[in-house]
Amino acid sequence: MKILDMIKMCLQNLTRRKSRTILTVLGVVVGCCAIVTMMSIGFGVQNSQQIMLEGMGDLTLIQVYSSGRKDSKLDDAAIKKFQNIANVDVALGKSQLNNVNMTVYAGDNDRYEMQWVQVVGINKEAMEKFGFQLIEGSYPKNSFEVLAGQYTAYNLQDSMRPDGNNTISRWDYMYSYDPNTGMMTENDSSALPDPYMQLNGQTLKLELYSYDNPDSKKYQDIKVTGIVKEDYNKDYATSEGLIFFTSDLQALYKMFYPSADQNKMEYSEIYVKAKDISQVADIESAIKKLGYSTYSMESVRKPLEEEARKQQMMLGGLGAVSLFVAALGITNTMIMSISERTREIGVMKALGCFLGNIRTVFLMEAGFIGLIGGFIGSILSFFISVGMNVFTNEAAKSMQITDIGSLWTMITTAMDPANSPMSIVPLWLYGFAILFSICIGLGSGFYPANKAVHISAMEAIKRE
Amino acid sequence: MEENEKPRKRRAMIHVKDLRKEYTLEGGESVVALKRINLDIMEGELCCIFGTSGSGKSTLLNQLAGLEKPTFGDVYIRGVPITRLSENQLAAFRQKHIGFVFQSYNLLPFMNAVENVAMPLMFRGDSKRDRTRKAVAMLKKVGLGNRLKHYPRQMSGGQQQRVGIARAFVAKPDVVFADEPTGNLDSKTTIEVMDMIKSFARKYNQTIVLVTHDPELAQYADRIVTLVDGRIVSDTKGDNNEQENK
Repeated sequence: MKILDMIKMCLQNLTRRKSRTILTVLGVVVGCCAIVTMMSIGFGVQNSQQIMLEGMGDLTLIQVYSSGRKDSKLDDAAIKKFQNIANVDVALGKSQLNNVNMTVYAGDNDRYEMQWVQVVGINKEAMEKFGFQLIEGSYPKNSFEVLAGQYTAYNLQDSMRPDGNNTISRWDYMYSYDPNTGMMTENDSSALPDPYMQLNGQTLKLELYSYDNPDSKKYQDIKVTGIVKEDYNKDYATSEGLIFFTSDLQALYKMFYPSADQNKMEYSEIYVKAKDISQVADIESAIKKLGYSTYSMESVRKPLEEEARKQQMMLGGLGAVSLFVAALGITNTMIMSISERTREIGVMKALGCFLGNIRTVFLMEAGFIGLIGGFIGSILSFFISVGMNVFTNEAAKSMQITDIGSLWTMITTAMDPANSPMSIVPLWLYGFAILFSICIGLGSGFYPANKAVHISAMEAIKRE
Repeated sequence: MEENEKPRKRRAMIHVKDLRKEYTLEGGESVVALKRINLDIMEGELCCIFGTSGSGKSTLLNQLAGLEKPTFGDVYIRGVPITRLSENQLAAFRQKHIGFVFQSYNLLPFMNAVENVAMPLMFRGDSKRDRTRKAVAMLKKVGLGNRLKHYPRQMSGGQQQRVGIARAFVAKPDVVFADEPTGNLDSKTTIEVMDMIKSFARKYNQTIVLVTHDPELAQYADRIVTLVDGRIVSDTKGDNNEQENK
């Protein structure tokens, strides 16, 4: 028999008993929906956890402490050692400018000044790899070139204006306070007023003195080559500070303490960034072997991940049970239809139909029930997923639906993984669900198909 | 056997040798349905296997057509020992050499007349165009040219059996087995149907094995083999001697 003839015969058989076929397909639809929905909830949990952890800090970042032992100093030698560990993206040291006060002047005739600026030094090699997000400009290349934080410019005070009216406070604009409800709401950050001047590309003048000798002031010009996005996980300086090369901070320090030995200088903190989340644990243990203490999100992430996986298995298992029930339904339907068609099968055999063809036709019928069920189930679970997400997302729920456009915005808002939706269906899950349903169909059709093959051709001769 | 030495016209189409069939009942008791049958059915012969119910004629048909394996002995069709073929070899053999006409027509209800007739060709893997052409031609020959797209439930018994005959002969088989082909038909249609079977068989020199308990039907045959209790008790020439006269 040609394959097309077999497909046609299989479809004819399925459409002969429409209601029975529909009911069986319905069973598969429910099973498929259950599996996809349950798994999607699992993915949703996983995603929410990921977002939560990312909010707590960079997951690939390992903080290294001195364990107190003499050989566990946070110095350049340590950075080199960490850098050589497999799968380490970058080892980064942060240093502060101790014992030195800094005032920053900007603008013509030093019109604007900044005090108490956050300052951090980062080793030159690590600067670009650390993952700062540049809003404008580029990374510094030469000494005394720096990056400024996103909101550093709002610290500028105008010396030409009277006290109390000489700053632009971004806080007044970023949040609005409703005296009736006592609620603070965050405003759109794009509505911020401009600072007195933009820092990118500006040359600033540093005025420095040491606390040991406040009267001896020294000066240094620096150039801002770029502005970085605020990210407290990286450093506070990304918000309202300046990011230097470590060597430059050391040079500033040496202006006041020329006898300091550069090789003995230690970093205040060292971070090691892994190339990928999965390598964090290995890198941590390698660092510990070198005699240091470490902290990373791994210790939080791991148990959470395992918990999520367990949950997902459990939910998936529940879905699998309903698909298993559907499989029994298919088997039942197939056995019924075969016993109804005993004589027909006998006739087919007597007229010379190959056993393989009979088996194929029946397997096709079962597989087709699975395919249709899986297909409809996938479509249905998409809508279930949308529904769940819309009803659990406060922002989406409060939206007014006036036209297709607003409905679309509501759905995309609810489905956006960044908003921690309850249910996430990766595209492959649909494909998997359909394939799985087909396999379930074929599996449950196997026994009935065998039964059909073993029906004797004599059934054709039998008299009622 | 001496007839076999004559020119090909008298070749044995079906050769049955020492055929025995026993059934084991549930109690473990065994019943002998056929006791050592030896029989040659010649090419082009219309042979009637005649017997009352329980005589073993249906069992013999099952063995001859390869629907069931005998306990002992062999059946050869065109020299092929069909009792020793596997199920799939048998299927291929049936596609080429065997046709069936059933008492209850056994048309598939979800297929129309053309599709039913074309079915054996479909099993063989013929293209749709080819088999439809042959099936339509066959249906026209049995006088159903105006019922091509009708489904079995839309046709009378006589019409259905004519579709059944078209199906049996469409692949030009060497042997057609007819099992009480007129059992469900009235006498007028019976004559029509039997004449049709006979004319087809004569035209292509096909061998017909007709199984019946109806003595009147047996009269259409060239030869009547009578079975009683699983044994051949008589083997006579029928009234119809056309073939001998040719």
